[in-house]
Amino acid sequence: MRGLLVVLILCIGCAPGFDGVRQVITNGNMLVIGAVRTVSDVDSYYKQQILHDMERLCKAKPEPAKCVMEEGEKRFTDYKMKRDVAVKAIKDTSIALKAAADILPLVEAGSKNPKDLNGWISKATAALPTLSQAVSELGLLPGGK
Amino acid sequence: MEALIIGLIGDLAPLAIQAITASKDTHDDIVKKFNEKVIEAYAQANGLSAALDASDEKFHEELRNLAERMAEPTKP
Repeated sequence: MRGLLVVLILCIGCAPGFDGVRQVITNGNMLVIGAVRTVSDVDSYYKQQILHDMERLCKAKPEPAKCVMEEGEKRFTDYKMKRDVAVKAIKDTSIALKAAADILPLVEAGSKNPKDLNGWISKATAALPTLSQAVSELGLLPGGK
Repeated sequence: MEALIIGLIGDLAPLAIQAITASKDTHDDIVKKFNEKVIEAYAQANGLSAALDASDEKFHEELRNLAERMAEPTKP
């Protein structure tokens, strides 16, 4: 029984793991799709929030129009810096996952080096925590969702 | 290493899901669904920048409109 278990573990360890790679890509893509929707939602919500805040904060100022333009642009620039990080992480992840998905059938057919596939999968798995972190930080913006 | 561990876990996941849901999907069905998901995610990620650029332009316009509205003297 113990011998069977060892053989089973060794077999799993030796398997090329195409289904596993496919699962990583599928799960990664689900995260990318979710991140795109989150960023879109946060974006429209946060822009509305800036407009709302400017109307309230600048009402009593001596130059309300100037206040709206200056403060509004400043808030937007701060927000956009965080948004750019999230968008870059989404794109990096999707490029790595797409490349892995394109190479996968070639590796399965034996016409491509598995190292290329492993390289893209490593890039995708390395990009995923950055993606989660960036999207999470975007959602935690003051006044954000 | 992470990829290997996730890959190994992922290897067992489809079997477990198939066993639990008694899925009748063939290998071709799974590959087809997989490809659709890849294309969808990639298209969404690439469309995001364009959508955000258009939204930014609209935001700047709304900000200018608000500034103009607030510059107008209040009617008695």
